[in-house]
Amino acid sequence: MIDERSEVAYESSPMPDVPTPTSSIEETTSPSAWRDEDICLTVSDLCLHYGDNEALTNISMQVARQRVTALIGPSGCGKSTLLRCFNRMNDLIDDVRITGKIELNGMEIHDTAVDIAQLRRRVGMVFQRPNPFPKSIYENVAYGLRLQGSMPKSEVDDRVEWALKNSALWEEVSGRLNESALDMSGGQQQRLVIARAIAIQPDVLLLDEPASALDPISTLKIEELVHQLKQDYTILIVTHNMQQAARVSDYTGFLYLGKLVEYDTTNIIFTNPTEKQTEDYITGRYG
Amino acid sequence: MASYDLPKISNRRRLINVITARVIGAGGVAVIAAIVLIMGYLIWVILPIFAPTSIELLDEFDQLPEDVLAIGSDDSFETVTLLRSNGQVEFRDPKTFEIANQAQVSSTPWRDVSLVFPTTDTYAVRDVEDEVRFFRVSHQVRYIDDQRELEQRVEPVFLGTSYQLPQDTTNFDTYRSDEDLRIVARRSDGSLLLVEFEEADDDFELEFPDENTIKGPTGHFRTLFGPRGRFLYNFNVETGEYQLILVPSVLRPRVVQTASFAIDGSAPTAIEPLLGRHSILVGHESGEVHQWTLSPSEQGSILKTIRVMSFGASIAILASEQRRKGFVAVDAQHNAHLAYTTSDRMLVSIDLGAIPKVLAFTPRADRLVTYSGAQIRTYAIENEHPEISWGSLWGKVWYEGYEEPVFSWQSSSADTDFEPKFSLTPLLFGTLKAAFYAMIFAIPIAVAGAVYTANFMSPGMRAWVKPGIEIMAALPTVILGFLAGLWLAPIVEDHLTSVLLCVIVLPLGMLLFATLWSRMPSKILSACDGWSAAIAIPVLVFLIWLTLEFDQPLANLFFNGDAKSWMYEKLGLEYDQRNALIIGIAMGLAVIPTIFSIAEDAIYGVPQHLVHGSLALGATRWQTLVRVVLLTASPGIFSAIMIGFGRAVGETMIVLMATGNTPIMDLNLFQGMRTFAANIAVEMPESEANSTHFRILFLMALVLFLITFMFNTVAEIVRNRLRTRYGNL
Repeated sequence: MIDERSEVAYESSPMPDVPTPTSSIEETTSPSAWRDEDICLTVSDLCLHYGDNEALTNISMQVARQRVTALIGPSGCGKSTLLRCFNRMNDLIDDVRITGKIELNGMEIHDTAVDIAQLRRRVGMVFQRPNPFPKSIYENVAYGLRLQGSMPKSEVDDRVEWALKNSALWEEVSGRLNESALDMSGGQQQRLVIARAIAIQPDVLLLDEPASALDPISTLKIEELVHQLKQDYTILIVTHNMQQAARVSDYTGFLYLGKLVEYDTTNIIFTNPTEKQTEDYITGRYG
Repeated sequence: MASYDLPKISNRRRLINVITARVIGAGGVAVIAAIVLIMGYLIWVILPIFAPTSIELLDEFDQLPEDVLAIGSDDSFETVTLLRSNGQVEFRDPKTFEIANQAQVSSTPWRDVSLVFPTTDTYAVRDVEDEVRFFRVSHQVRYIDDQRELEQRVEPVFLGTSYQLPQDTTNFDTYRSDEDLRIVARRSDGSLLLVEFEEADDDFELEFPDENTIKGPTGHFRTLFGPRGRFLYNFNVETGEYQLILVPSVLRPRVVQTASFAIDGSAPTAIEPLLGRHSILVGHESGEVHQWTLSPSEQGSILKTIRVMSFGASIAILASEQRRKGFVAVDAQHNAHLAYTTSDRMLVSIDLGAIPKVLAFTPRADRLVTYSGAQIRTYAIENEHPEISWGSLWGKVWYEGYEEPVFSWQSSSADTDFEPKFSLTPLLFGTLKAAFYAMIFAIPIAVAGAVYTANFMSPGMRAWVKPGIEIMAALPTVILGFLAGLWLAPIVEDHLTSVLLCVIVLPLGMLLFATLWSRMPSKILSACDGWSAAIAIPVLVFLIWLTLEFDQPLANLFFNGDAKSWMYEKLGLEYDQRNALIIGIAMGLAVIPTIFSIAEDAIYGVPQHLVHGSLALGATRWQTLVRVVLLTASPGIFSAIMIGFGRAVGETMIVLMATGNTPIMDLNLFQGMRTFAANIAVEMPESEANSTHFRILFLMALVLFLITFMFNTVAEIVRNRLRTRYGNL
């Protein structure tokens, strides 16, 4: 399915746009006013248990297409767990029980007919710590492409170049694509894994505290990158850093003790939150 | 501003630091020192093998009797025995050549004297009346009042009885075995008189001879008994023509070969048998010495040239050593050349000043005595290990009695005139063969097991499996070897068809089972997730039982009823009960824990964030395993395999007990082998200290050491390169 789509995309245009319609919503539109086609992910009554501990309780939210949605909250509030629900990474953990629904473009991702690998190709993820494979820079980016079967060398080359350009890394590494990715700096590695994630052109990009292990300059570059990437991708970002959430996101959800306390435009959350808990957190009373 | 001092390190802490540093340092140095010491000791024992040979003039004595027929000596060169034609045996001190003792053995003068073949102390003498008598010369050490006394004695054998040869005998030779005495006399008309005394005993008279005369060519011939008295060499010393006569009994001699030692019509200048008389050394005017040996052929054993050594000038006289296959060749310019046949080595040369009439080695070949009529010279020889050369250790050597040059290891034999065969190649081959088959068995099982255990097994099961397999490493290999040799080997031999088919049936059966299993309801599947390996065990046992149970029908189906004879007839493969298949299984089992444990650690240690990174990109578990996990763990898996290989190369007890220890060079899975380690274990206890054999065993140990050292070094280098490429494991 992805193969077909990407080949068409490759032949028709120089590097592709995601073939989903461009979102029409204004950044100031509150989630309640979204039209159906603006919605990429719908979460309804999601509960998640680690053994006997309830980590997420009755989460219901929608994520707008081609917008950046930030999830904030104190440590242990379940924001990373929620993020990992979207590409079912929680399946890798023993003793996890999930109830409720998550729909990606209207399709229930927990359905037994869903191929997890295919799901993850459409919902890419970038982790907190850069995790490049012990391969060359080129092979890292080409990794996801190669998983999908054989592809002409020239096409792989083009896609790698496209992904590196879109992750603002091309200029730094174009001359040393065959060197080990482990020799790069931390910031470069993190952009590399973003390039790796977008090379397979997912619909959604999940960023789990992508800049928390990086220095300020690298952080800035990642934030700029997120800003550019939302042209094409629906982005969910988990962050500890509220300035970052304020800078990069259009919408923000505040989680506390496994509950989605408040979810609205970033502007409202940071300037005029409805809930007192949100305000306390934003203003640094706890967290 | 408050000022304060940083607290100083306490003396006690400082002392502990210093002591700890010293102890750890000393430990490290001690380990290295121990290895260097072992290496040093091995080299110290081995080095004499390569020491150069030397010969030097020791003494020269004049005014000695002119009628010496033969010269002998005792083992330690404390007495030189001169046998004179006047019937006297003189014992002289080699330092002064004063007479220490003498005996008048016969009042009739002697015509010629020779040692009875193959004894080293019994002489046969023919007197001028052509009577043959036998006597033994003995050297006995006695301690009288703590004083060492050497007593030489001449004792008659066969109670002094003689045998009357024909009056026209030109020369004669004698052969003595435990049972009988044989005499051959060549008469001037060319005929040979063969005489045999059956059950001749030293303490009884010689009586009731069997006699037989056969015709022979005339000329200046010399006749000698060959090995075990079963052959006669009858050769013309002037032209080189010879007859090889097979003598199963003196009544039924048979000429098996008539040929000539001459090359291009040039007659030999000296002919002398080598120790044991399996070979004849033939010297030529060209300075070449040809070694002719009894070599099997279609007509039976015939003489054949197997080696040519060249010494420059025409060969005048040859003499061979008494306990080894060495010889000395004296050329026309009276240069003596020491040489050794097996190793094909020209060792050392010295000018003798004159061509001697009699030339004799002492029994240990550490002295050479030359007699040139009234003058005797003694030479000291340092020549401990002439058998060894690079070629004889590693190359093919044409040994006595062989059809062609071969690689062979045969270090000892019941015969004293045996030619030791010290080729390391078959043992190196056996070592690598055993390790190779063990690795073929162990690598797939150990690595696949490690992959499964690290990646797919439930933590609960892993907690049992990993320590369980590691405990297998503690199983004494002597038990494995014992089980392999005495229990497994007969079973495999009896169920060969099944065992061979298991290679196909087990993987296919498991795959089939896995396919069926994956069709089970998902409830059962998820309940058993991570424990499915345990479910496979009964299936595996059942499959093995099934194949073993149907051995005979399967053999009928595939191999006409018997796998062993089918293989022999169709493929020419011989079957030994203890073979490389058994070793592959038994030694494979011994190295599996090593490989498994290290490889599992490496795979398990692959960081989870890499696995998750791959899975998040839409990789399946299998893709992640192949493309990320195994790649990242490759340095660890590689070193696991290398360490396993090192263990297989050095493993002793299993190969000792289950290989059959046959030093043959054959890659055949169904043949045995002998490895370095097993050979050292087998032969070291029976090897004479400081002998060539002893030192070669040490050389073998050094080679073994170097092989493992080399493999470990290569493994370490490769592992480091992989590690820098594939991350920090």
